[in-house]
Amino acid sequence: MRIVNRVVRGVLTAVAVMGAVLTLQACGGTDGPTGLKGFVPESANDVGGISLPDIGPVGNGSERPLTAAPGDLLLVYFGYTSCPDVCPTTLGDIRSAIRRLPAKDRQRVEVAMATVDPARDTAAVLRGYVGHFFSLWRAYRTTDPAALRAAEDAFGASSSVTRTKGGGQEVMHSAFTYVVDDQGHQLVSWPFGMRSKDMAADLRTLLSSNQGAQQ
Amino acid sequence: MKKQIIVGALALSTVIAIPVAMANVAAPVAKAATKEKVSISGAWVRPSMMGKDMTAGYMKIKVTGTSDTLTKVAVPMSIGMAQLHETVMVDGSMSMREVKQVVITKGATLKLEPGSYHIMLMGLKSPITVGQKVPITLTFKKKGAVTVTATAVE
Repeated sequence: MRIVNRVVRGVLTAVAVMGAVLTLQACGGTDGPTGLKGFVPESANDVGGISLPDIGPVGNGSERPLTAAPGDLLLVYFGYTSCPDVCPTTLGDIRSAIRRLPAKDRQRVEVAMATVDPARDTAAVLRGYVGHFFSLWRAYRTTDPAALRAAEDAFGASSSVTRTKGGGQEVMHSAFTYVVDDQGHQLVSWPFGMRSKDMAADLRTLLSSNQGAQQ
Repeated sequence: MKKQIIVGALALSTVIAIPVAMANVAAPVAKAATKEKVSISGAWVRPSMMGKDMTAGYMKIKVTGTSDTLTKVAVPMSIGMAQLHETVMVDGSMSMREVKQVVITKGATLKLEPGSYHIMLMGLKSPITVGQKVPITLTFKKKGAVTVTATAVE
């Protein structure tokens, strides 16, 4: 209950917690740094083998692994730009968390959004959206559903886009943010509703424990 | 420890099955039981993103004197159109759905907030920018129409 109480922000968050807890049941072992506010996988969750086209300013459309630069951290979020509520709230919270860090640490945190709705999230739309929030960012966009699915599976994420009767689209997606290191280890994940100060605390903990890798 | 977490999470998750009207019964009871009274506070909208013709608005709606039902939300046609939506989680995935009405019991506060109920603004005729004032009209079964001004803030 201690973990639950710490992150609950409203009923919806509680349900998100339930999803996270059920996910974590599949893991075993007790690795990972202690004192983190988010969920720490109980066994190493390696996403280093996953790569997708990054249409951000650095990737410029080339395939890039979803791993951080040496000694840094990469925050990965699967979402879509037509999402008016959950996605901008989460990205705004992440931005607030990064702003809480000392300037030298801010340069060590990059944010990647992978679109789950590539049909509507054209390259231009996605670039404008992610670039609005962050100065260090990647935007992953693949039009290959199997590649997106493989990436989501590696992270423990999921999504679906279905057409509605009225001609609209309904998008369902898991709403976690995953923190990944330069080796592709998923260090911690944050449920929707995680406070930015708690995210910042996790980033500080992870960046300080990752100092050695930066050398 | 694992078991405790699951039980706790499940217990909390059952709350979501309770209508908002019931979930909020613990809110302070109105001091003066006058006729229907609706107080709306903290209204804001998120500025729209570049290239997107939609965004969301939030506020708190407190009903005193009697229960009431929110049946409609609207913005001027010159801005776009509005619907009351709710973000829901099903099998670990989040999605949105339109909500036709919400009953608010006497003394309760309906919170429109991120990850929950929100006013979905769609088909925006022009971008909503920081500092812009957006009039939002909410219609209640008893109280009738109430218009509030929501400010666009990041």
